[in-house]
Amino acid sequence: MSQPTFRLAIDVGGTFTDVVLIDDQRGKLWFAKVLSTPDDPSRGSLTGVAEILERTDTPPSAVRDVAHATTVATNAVLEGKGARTGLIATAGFRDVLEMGREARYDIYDLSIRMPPPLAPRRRRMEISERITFDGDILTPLDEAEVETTVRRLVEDEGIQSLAICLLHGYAHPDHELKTAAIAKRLFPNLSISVSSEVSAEIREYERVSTTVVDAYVKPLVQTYVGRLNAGLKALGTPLEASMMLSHGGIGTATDVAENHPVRMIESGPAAGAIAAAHFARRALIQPDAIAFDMGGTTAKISIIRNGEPELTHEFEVGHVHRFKRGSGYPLQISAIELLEIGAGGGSIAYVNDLGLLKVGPQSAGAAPGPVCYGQGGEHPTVTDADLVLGYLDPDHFLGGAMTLDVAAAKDALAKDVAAPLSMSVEQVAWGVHDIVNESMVAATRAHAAEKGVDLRNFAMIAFGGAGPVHAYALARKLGLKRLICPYGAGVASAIGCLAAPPAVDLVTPHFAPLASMDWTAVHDAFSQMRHSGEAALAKLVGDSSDIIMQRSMDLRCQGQGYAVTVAIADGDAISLPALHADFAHIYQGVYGHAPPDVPLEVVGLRARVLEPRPELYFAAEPNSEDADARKGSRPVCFDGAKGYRDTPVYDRYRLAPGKIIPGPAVIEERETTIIVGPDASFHRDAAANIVIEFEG
Amino acid sequence: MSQQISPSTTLDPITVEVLWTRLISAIDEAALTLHRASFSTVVRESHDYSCMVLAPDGQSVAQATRSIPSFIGTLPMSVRAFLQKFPAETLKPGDVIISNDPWIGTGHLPDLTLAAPIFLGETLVGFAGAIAHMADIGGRRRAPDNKDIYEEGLQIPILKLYEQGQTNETLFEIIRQNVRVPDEVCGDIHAMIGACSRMTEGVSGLLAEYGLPDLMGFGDKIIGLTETAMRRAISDIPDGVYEATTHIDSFDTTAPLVMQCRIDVRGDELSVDFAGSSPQNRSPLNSVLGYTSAYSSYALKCVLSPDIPNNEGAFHPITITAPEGSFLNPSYPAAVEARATVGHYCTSAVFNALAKALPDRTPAESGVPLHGFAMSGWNGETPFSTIIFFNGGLGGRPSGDGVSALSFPTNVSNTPTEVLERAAPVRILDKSFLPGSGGAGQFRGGLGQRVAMEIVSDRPVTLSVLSQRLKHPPIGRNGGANGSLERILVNGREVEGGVPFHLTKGDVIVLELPGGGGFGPPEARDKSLIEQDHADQMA
Repeated sequence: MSQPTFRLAIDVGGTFTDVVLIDDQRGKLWFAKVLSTPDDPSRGSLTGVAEILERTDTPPSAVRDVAHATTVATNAVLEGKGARTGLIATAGFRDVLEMGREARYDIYDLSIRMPPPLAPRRRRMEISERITFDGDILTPLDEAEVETTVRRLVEDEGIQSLAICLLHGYAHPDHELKTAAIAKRLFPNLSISVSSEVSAEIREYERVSTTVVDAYVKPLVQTYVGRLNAGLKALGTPLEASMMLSHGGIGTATDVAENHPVRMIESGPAAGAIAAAHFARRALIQPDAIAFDMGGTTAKISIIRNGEPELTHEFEVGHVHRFKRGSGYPLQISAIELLEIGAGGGSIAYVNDLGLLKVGPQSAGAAPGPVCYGQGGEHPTVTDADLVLGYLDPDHFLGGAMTLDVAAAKDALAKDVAAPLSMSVEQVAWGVHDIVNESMVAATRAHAAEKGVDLRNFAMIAFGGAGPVHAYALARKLGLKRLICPYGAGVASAIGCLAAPPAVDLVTPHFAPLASMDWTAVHDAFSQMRHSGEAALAKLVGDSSDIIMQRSMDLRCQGQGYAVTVAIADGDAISLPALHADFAHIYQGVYGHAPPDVPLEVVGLRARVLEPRPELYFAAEPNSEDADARKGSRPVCFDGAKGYRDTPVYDRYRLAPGKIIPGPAVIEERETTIIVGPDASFHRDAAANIVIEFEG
Repeated sequence: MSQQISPSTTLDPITVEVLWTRLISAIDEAALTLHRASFSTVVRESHDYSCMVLAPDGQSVAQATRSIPSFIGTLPMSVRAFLQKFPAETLKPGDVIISNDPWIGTGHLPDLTLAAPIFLGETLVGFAGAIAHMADIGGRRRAPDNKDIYEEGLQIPILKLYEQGQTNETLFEIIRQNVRVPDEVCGDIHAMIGACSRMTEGVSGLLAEYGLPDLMGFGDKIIGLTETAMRRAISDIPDGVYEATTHIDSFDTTAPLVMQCRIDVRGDELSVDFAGSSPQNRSPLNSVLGYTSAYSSYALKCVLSPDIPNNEGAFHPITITAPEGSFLNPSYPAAVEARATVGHYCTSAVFNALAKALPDRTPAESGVPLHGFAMSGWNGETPFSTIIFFNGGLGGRPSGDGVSALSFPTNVSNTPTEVLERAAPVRILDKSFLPGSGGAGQFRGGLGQRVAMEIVSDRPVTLSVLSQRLKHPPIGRNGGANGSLERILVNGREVEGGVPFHLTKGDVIVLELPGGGGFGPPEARDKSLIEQDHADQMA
C-alpha cells in the first residue's frame, strides 16, 4: 500500500457536523453534512466520517490525519453542563473568583446579573501558603493541610475536577505543583487544572477564572476525545485526531484534553477564521482581509493581516449578557480575535422608547425563526427584510428545500415597524437592512481601530448563511475595494482545520528593563521554549526537520500595564534599535500618538513553534463553460432612496471562470445568496470563488 | 466645504440610528485607547476615566459605553466654562484645554478634565472631552483632615495645554514639579490627548461621509427624542412630594451630616431639592453642586429610564438644587477631595425619597460610597503614590439579591493584588466576602468585603481612609433589614478614619466594607436561597 494521501477534517457545530475529505495529491475535496449529536458529539462525527469514506470509496488506512474543531467546550460553559468543580486558593483569596473586578458592565441596569461562579463558594477552599511576587516563601506549604483540603473537596463536596490557583503562581509555581501532586497521589482519577500550567500570567482574577473554566470543561472534553479516538481506531484510521485550538494552531486532541482544554474553547470559530485566511492567501496578492461570518443569531468578524488572523490575549466566554463585554468569564489564553456581534438573519427589528428603529440583539434564532419561515415567528427579522428587498428568492431558499412567505414578512414589518414610524414597508425593510449593517460596520471599525488597521486597503471574505447577502453593503460602507465569496464557504471551519499548520504557542513571563536585559537568559528562555515546543509537536508530526520558531517580545513603557507584542527577526542576534523602532511604530498605530520618552521594559517572551505546511490546494467541481448561468431576473432594492430595480439572477455553479459581469446581480447557491450592487462587477476566479470588485 | 445635504442624510429615525451607532463606536474606540495607553493603576486597573463628544455649545451628545456616571454629568459644565474663558471664535484646531477646578468639573482636584475642539474645515462642530483620575495631584494626599482646597493639591485653572498643536511646556513643568509620580501623571495626560484625537478623527470622518455640516441637527434630534422618553417616564410617577432624610458620618463633629431630599413630581417634570441639608464643613466631605447633581440625576435615570441614551435631553425635565453654602453645594475654598464619599450618597438619598412613590421599583441602599486606601511614601528608593479601591455590597433589588462587592453608584474596579504588590510596598493578606454583612430580606443585600493589608516598606507609609458607614448602615427597603456597618482596625484595634495613618513595617490595616440593605421581608425569602446561602456561608 502506498503512503496515505487523504486527510479528513471534522467541524462539530451546534446543529450540523461538517466533514471534509481532501486528496492533497490530486487537489480534490469532498463535503458531507450530518446532524450533530449533542448527547455524544463523537457519534455524529464518526457517522459523518464513515459516510464520506464510503461515498468516496476511500479506505480508512489511506487517511493520513484527522483534524478537528468543536464547540463542545464552549457549549458546556454556556449550558452549565461542565464538571462539578472545586478550587484551592491561597488563604484569604478564595472569593477572588466571584468578586471579579467589582465593576459593572452596564452602568444603568439596576437588575444587573454577574456570571455565576463555576466553582461556588462551598467548593472553594483555602490553604495557608504564601510566596511573594519576587519568590520569597513567606509561609511554606502545609502538606497535611493540603491533604485534608483535597479530601474535603472530593469526599464531602463530591468534586470531579479541581482547579488550583495560588497568589503569584504565574511566576512561582512551586506550591501549585506540590498541591497538584498531593491531589494526584490521593485521587489518581481526579481531573486537575493548575494555573501556572493553564495560563502563567499576572492578574489573579483573570488567571483563576481561566483555570476554573479549564477544570470545568476538562472531564467532558476528555471523554469526548477518548470516544472519538476509539471510534476512529475502530474505523481503521492510522493516527489519532488533532484539534484546532483557539489561537488557530493544531495540537493532538489527547494532549489538549489532558493538559489545557480551555485552549480549544473557541476551536470552531477559530477554524472559520483560519479558513478565511486561507481563502485570502489564495485569492489576494496582498492577503489583508476582514473575515465576515454571519449566521442566524450572530455575526463574527476577524481581521486577517498578511494572510494570518489577528490574535488576542484577552478573551471572554459564557456571557450573561451575550454581547456585553465584561458579562462573561475572562480567559487569559491566546485566541484568534473574533468580534461577535448580536446581528444575524434572525435578529428582531423593533421601535424603541425613543421612536427609533432598532435591530437585535434579540433574535428569533432557528426556532421559531424569521416570520417568513412560517414556523411561528411573529416579529420581523433581518431575513424578513432581506426577503422584502428582493435579496432572497422565496422559492429557492436552501436550494429550494424551503419556501418563504413574503406576505407574512411584509405584514410583520408593517405592524411592528412601519406603522409606528409612519413609513412604508419597503422603507423600513431597507432601514432594517441598513441598520443591522451599520451596527456591524461600527463594530468592525472599532475593532480595526483597536488593532491599528487601516481598512481601506483590505478585502472582505464573506461566509455563513447570511454573510454574502450583507457583505456587499458592509464592504461598501467600509470603503473596501474587493469582496470575495469563497467556494466551500458552507464548510469553512472544516476547511480551516486542514489549512492550519501544527503549532505550539508558548509564553515565558520575563520582567526586566529593556536597557539592562540579561540576553543570555533571554536566549536560554527561547531555546527552552523551542525544546518544549518541539517535544509537543513531535506527537503530531513525528520527528520533523522542518520545525521553525517565531519569536516575539511583549514590551511597554515603564509604568504602563498593557504591552505591545513586537516580533523579533529570525537569527541569533536581537537588535535593540530595531526593537525600539518596531515598538514605536506599533505603539503609534494602536494608541494614536508616539510613545512618551520613557524607558521600555520587557514583560514576556513569546514563541510559536510550528511545522510550516504547503498551502492547501483544491479545485472546484467541474462546470460547463458554455452553460448559461443567468436564471432570470427580479426587482431588488439596493438603496432605500432609489427603490427597486430589475436585477439579473445567476446560478453560481454555472458561471464561467474569468468572465466579468457588471452589477447589479443576485447570485444564488445552495447555502446562501450573493448580492452585488449596481456600483460593482464580479467574476468567478480559477478557484471558483466569486470576486466582487467595487468601482472607483 | 459642502453645506449640501444629500437625500440619504435626511434625519429620519433610520438615519439617526445609523449616525448614533457610528458616533458611539468612535467614542468607545477612544476610551479604549486611553485605557491601554495609560500608566497609572487608577486608570488602567480601576477604570477611573470617561470620554464624551459634546456639541459646540457644550451640550453632551454621546458618551463611551463604559463610563463613570459623575464624569458624564460634569463634562458639559466644564466645556461651558472653558468657552467663557476661550470663546468659540478664538479656538483653533490643535487646541487642548485643561482644568481641574472642582467647581466647574468633577468636584475634586485629582480629576483632570481635557477638551479639544473639533473642526470641520473652519467650523467648530463640537468638542472631544476626556476625564481621568490622576495617581497624584500633590498636596496632602486625600487627607481626611484637610480644611480647605489649598491643602488638597495643585489647582489648574482653565488653561490651554496645547495651542494649535504646540505643547504648553510651562504647564507640563509645573505639573511635573507638583506631583509625586510625574511620569505616571504626564503619561496619563498623553493617553487622554490620544483619546481626544481619536474622537476628533471619528467625528469629522462621520460628518464628512454623510455630508453633514455639523453635529447639531443630528444631536438636537437625539437630545429631543431622549427628552421625550424621559418625560414619559416621569409622567408614570404619581404627582406629589416625596421626602426622605439620610444620615452620613462626618469627620469634624460628633453629629452626622444630614441630607434632606425632597422630590417634587408634577406631570412630566421632576425636581430634587436638598434644602435643609447640613452646612458645608471644614473637612473634605463637601460635594460641589455639579457632582451632587450628577449622582442625583444618575439615580433617577437608573430607576426611571435605564435604556434611553444618556445625554442632556434626559435631564431637561429634571431640576436639582441644593442651598449655597451647604455641604451639597459648598463655596470656594472648601475642601472637596472626599466629594465622592458624600456625593455617592445622593443616589441613596434619591432612592430613599423615590421609594415612597415607587416602592416596588426602588432597590435598598447599597454599601456606598466607594472606599479606598490612598497611600504614599517610598518603595525602596523610588517615591510611590497610589490609590486602590474597594466596593461594598449592592442593595437587595426587586429583581433579586444584591450583588456582593460591586461598584455602585460609581463604576471603579479593584486593583489586582498581584499588580499592586509589584507596584507598592504592601501585602494584601485577605480579600474576602464578609459573611452576614448583607441585610436580610426576601432579596438580601449583597455582601461587603474584608480587606487586610500589611505594610512591608522600611520607611513609613501615609495612608488615608475616607471612612463612612461607621455609624449609619445601608438601610433596607420594604421590610428588608439594614446592611452591616463599616469597621476599620489598625493592628487589631478599632479606629475612626478622620485623620491619616502613618504606618510602618509590619502594621496591618483591616477595612470591613458594608453589605447592602435587604429588599422585602425576610420571611418571604425562598427556601432554596436560604439553603444556598447556608451552604456557601454567605449569611
